[in-house]
Amino acid sequence: MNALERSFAAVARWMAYAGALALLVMTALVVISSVMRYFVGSPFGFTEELVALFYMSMVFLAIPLVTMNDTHVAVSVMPERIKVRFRSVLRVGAALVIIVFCAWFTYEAFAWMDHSRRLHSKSEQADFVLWPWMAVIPVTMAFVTLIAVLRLFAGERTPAVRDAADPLPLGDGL
Amino acid sequence: MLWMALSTSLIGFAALGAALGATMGLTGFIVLKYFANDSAHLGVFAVWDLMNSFTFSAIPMFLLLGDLLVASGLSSRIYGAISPLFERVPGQLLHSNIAVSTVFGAISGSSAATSAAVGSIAYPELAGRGYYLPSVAASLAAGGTLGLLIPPSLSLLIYGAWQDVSIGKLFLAGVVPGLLAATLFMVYIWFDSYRRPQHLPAKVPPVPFGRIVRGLVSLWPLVILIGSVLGTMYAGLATATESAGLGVFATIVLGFLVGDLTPRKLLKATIESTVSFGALSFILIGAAVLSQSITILGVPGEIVAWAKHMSLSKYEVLAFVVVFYLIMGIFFDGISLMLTTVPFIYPVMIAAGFDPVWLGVFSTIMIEIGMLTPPVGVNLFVMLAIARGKVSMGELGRECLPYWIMLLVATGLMTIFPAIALYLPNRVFG
Repeated sequence: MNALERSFAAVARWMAYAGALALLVMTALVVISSVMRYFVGSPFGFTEELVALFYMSMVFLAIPLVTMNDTHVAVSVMPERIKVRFRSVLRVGAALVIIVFCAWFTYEAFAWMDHSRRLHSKSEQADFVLWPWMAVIPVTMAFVTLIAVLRLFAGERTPAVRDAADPLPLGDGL
Repeated sequence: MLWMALSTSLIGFAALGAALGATMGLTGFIVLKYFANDSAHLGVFAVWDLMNSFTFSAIPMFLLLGDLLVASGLSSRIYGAISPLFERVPGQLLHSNIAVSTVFGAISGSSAATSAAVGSIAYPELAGRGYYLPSVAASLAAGGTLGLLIPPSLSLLIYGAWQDVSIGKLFLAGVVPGLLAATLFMVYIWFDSYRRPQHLPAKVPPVPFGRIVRGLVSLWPLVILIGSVLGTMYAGLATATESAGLGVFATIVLGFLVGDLTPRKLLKATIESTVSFGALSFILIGAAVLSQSITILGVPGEIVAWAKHMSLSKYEVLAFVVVFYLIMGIFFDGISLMLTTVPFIYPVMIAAGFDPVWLGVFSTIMIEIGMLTPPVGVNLFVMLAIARGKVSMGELGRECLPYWIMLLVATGLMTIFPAIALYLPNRVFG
């Protein structure tokens, strides 16, 4: 279980790094596009669509690490105020909510992505093939589902798991 | 039956302590599946529409901008330059906490980032000078709320992009209410300095005029930043997203040239912004699914019809919404409060006759009040973390109460005089 948790944490961390890269790329695209439009007079026709696709990817790539570290925003008033022995019941309930939601979302998003792949649908202006970008959604949400299941059954986190899931300080690869 | 399913699952899932995004999203899926002809797939379409958006991409860029300001040390330059102006004013450096937060708010769009950035510099400084620590922490927590109101503002950006309201108008509408809130905070500090003089250190010698001028001159990078972010947008040169991108670019250049930014700090700030935005966007995803479900079933229309049936006047609706926000502020924090409430509040308030731009600013002030409300107020937690156990939640909550009231006063003034929010956008955009 410990090794599996460490592996999941490492994958989630690298997904977040990919999301951070997407953030830098979309910022650079916006700046370059502004310069091209106002100073060179030759705007890119693809910036808005590409930035939006990078933005969507960034959002979904960051969620696995948030789930791994259990840093989602939640209403904690009740879990903090009930007796300790009931807390585990609430914890299971809370985990089931995120598991069911993410699994359901994965199912719907996969069907929709597959439909788009079969239609070979493209973006309106720049003709980007959309399904590879759409695939980010079911892939990351499926991974979030697995992480939530793992977190439900995993015990207290070991320092090794905590290190693997810690995005900062910049770990091994960076 | 629909209302029963909606309220039971929303309250039930939230009470379990489930992630707010999953709570709203699962409720939305259940409603779409069982009350809207098995159309759960529409929830995914709504998320795609919301997330595949050029306008929304400005949000993580503004978050990154705030993190880069802290990482590059440019925020400490602002404090060093502005604080000498207030050393001799009754209330002394507590005023500078508000003034610096106001200036920082004109670059950063986040309340927690403003509290953290100004608090991490000002709290140790004022603690060392013998100020009453709960007062210091409260002024910084309250000052942080200005980050969300004074443009650029994340909440106004999300509200505008989500409800299709002009972001340029919203940003301009936040300026005067933001300055009004800052003034009200300063009036309270001035008043409190006479009421509890024992909470302030002895008078300090006057600061040499030359030092004040040198401090203000050192703010030139800030002028460039505000010009990059707000100037380009108001001059009609850039959209909100472009101004966010230009702001990030300018902060990186200035951070390397005149600040302490390093490639490592840049990467660290980028990863931090990405992960913190990940937590926020999970709520956005859930809110999109929920919003889709209630819109398809005409729930907002039912609420509006109910308000009409009850013959509620415009201001009775407003009073109801204010009480609703104050109660919800006990359970929800920051932007999540907006994401949870706007799908319900927006149609009702618009039908009651309120202006969409005014409503965006009003919602933001109500969110700010939530940020100062125990037990989940984000700014309170930021300051408790900075105070490292020297201030308790009870002390901080009590000291924040006058600021909390000042924000309500600002809301009241804005209701009586809507031009406080609407004059500037109407003047500029017509």
